Amino acid sequence: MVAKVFSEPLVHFTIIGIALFLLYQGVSPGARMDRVVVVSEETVALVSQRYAAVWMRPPTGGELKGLIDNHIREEILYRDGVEIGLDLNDRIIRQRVLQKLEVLSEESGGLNPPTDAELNDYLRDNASRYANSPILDYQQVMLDPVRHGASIEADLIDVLTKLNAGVDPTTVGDSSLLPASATGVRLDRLVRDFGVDFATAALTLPVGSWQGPVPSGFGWHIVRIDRKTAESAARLEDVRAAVELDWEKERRLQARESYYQKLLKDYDVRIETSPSEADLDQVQE
Amino acid sequence: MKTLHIIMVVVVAAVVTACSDSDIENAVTPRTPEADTAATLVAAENAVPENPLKDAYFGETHVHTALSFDALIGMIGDGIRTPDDAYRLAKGETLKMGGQEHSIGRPLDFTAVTDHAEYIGESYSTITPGAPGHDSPDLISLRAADTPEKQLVWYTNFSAKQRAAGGKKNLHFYAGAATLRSGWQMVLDAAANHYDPGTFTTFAGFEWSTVVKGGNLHRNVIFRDMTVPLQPYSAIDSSDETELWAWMAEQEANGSTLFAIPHNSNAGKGLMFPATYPDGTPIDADYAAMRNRYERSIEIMQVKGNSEVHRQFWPNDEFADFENADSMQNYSERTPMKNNFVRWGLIEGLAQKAKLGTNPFQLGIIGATDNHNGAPADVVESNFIGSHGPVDSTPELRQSGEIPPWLLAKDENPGAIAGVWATKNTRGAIYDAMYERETFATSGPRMKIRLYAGADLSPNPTDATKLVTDGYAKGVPMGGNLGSLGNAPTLTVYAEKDSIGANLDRIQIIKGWVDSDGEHQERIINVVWSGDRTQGTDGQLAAVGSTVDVQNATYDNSIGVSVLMGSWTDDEFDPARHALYYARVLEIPTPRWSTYDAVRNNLPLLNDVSATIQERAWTSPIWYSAD
Repeated sequence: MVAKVFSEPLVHFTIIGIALFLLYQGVSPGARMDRVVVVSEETVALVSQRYAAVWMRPPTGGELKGLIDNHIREEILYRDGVEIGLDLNDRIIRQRVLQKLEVLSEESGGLNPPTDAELNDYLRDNASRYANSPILDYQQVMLDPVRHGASIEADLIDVLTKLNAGVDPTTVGDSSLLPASATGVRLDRLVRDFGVDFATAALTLPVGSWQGPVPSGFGWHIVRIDRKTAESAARLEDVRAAVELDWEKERRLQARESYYQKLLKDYDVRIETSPSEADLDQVQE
Repeated sequence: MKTLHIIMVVVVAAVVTACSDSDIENAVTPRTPEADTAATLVAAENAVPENPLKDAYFGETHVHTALSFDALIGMIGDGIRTPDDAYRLAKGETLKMGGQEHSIGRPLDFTAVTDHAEYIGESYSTITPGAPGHDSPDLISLRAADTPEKQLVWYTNFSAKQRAAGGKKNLHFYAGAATLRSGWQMVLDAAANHYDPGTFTTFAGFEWSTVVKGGNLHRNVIFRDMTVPLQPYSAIDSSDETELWAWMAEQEANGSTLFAIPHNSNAGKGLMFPATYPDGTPIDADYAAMRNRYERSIEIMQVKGNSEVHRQFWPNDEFADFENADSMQNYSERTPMKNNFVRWGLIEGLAQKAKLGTNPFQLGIIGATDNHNGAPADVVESNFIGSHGPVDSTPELRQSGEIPPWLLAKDENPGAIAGVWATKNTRGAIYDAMYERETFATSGPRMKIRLYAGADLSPNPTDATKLVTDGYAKGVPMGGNLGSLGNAPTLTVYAEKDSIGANLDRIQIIKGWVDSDGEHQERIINVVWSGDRTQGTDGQLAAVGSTVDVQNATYDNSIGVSVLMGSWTDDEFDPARHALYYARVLEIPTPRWSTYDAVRNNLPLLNDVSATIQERAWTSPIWYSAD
């Protein structure tokens, strides 16, 4: 009778099923790891490292014991928290996960340092950002229209004529502490001293003669460019650090974006309010 | 086989989940900047060319970042701005802040980040994952306070606790001196990383933030170089300024070079220029000597108002109504009093000098902001986004809100800027210029002003370069000292507008002295001005007029002038009496920040604040000594 029972396929299945179930309980991560806390060598090393990063020295024996005790306490309490679902619907945890994923997604673009070819491409595509500023040697004379009133035009022409005839620049124009001359001046310095209008105009002037009038916030200027070095493309060796930083930043942003776009393709997004068409257009960003 | 598969899958799964959280936050290796060796730095500084006639450099000496706990609270949810970010903003970079891309405009020449020393450790704990105290429940809830309402609750709680403890204790989640030192290290690292001799100078610094009976007696401490202590000195160490100076003396013995800048005397409750020590004994020659040695300038204006003068006590100064910040008196009973103000303090210094032999209030003039957004010198009136995080971050809040516990937001201003006449833009040259008091402050725009005094200076200068060369050769510049003279000194003055700013109205000289009855006396002289106005016999000069269109928040430069130059000889000179002279230059009227806010946002103009202002600059005094 018993032998007949044990030869039933249903009984076989039941016994195998129970055995599998017990086996699974035995080896599944949830079952075994629920009640076992393993403090591995790696964990101990990590905990010490974290301590040293803050305190600038490794922990003493007593401190290390305390750190490990803390770790165990945290681990046990954490598992308990997860078991009762405390990690669900928590904004702070959600934000933290998003933060970590952001870093992960940024690095999905690769972690290798850029090659020279990649940097040169980037430099070429963004040349204006790194270009060497134009450099000027200049002289200038200022006339304040407020001081000259109605005769400002005539006075400007007069000064221009005199200067081109070789008169000493310090004897004409209105006195001020604006630089009467300077050499090796970069564009940003010129903008700082005289304003954008003056700097833009100065760049267009021919070299070697007095020209004007050129406007600035101070008034009108007669200007002589004695030397001009045009804006030049930067060489990689001069701006490498800046280009590397910017290249890296762009790679991260692109990696983050393509990571998200790839994920988005697998999702079916439904919005249950009834937005206007204009609102809908912005959803996919 | 299937079971084997199951086991294999299960084992692999177990291994994977048993890995510690892979510390993704540590996976990003921070870039370590190349450390400048001391020798490279000195070489770079020496390579910068000098201008013996000096150039004007503009900078910030008072700004707060996330390492100041009160600023930190306001940054939650908007982005933590560290000293590193502050220096980036100072160099003209654009950062996302207050919900928009923001830049201060033109880059600065120098900046000192000066976080409150008291709670640097607490701030460090808050912002640094893994730091001791980082996971304390209070800080977890602080980091979650991402709306202005929650932050206000947090901030009110924080400042109430601070006041209750008399500002003398660390906050209860303070995790020890190591966090203070680590936070201070962040300050130092940022200063080291951004120093670029000849282009941009950084200074290590901090703010000693003592509050005595509600009176503001804070000082900003600036170091000449990176020989600095392991941690700054805070009001928790002591709230007595004589002990701050004693600590500064100890630092000097350890190789540091440092000085302090007091500020906000307008909120000083009469304690900024005292007649007594904190314990009530009258000040003596020692006090005067120490204060003269360690406090070389005073911050004459910042976001919390202008401390030069107040219209209530200077009815004869037609320009004394500038940024008086009246609502400050409604907080902590800070009733305005005449002896809060810088002009009073400077003249009082002469009285004390006569008594004690040394002038305890021989203060140069400097300007700063006290910006709590981590944005140095964010002073452009037409681009003001507030100074204290969320409480003044919108036009509506700036009209109707307050900056607790200081003043109503409509009474604040974007702040002032420091001007320094130095031979070059390096730490040593700029620090030395500040220490020698060859500095000026402006209320925001970058006008430049020169002042010299001497018995041998030629009056009515017409050549600006000669004015400067003569001034240095035959007289003393602003901040300088004139020894006993037989003849009256002549003062020569030059001012130049901001290259992108408003024209100038006039230059004035203010003379101060103490008369034989011991009373403060002063005289305001209009020295040179724009246009063809004539001065009355009483010295009065008509106003320059105004081109401001308040409805559109615009102005034009059809009045005023771009350069002014002139002189004044002291026709009432008394060689036997100490005196001081300082210059003040005013621009033509321009719209106030509150007018730009109203016009751009369709809000009504406020009727209890000015719609227009005349921006200005003040020089350090030149002191005449009768000895």
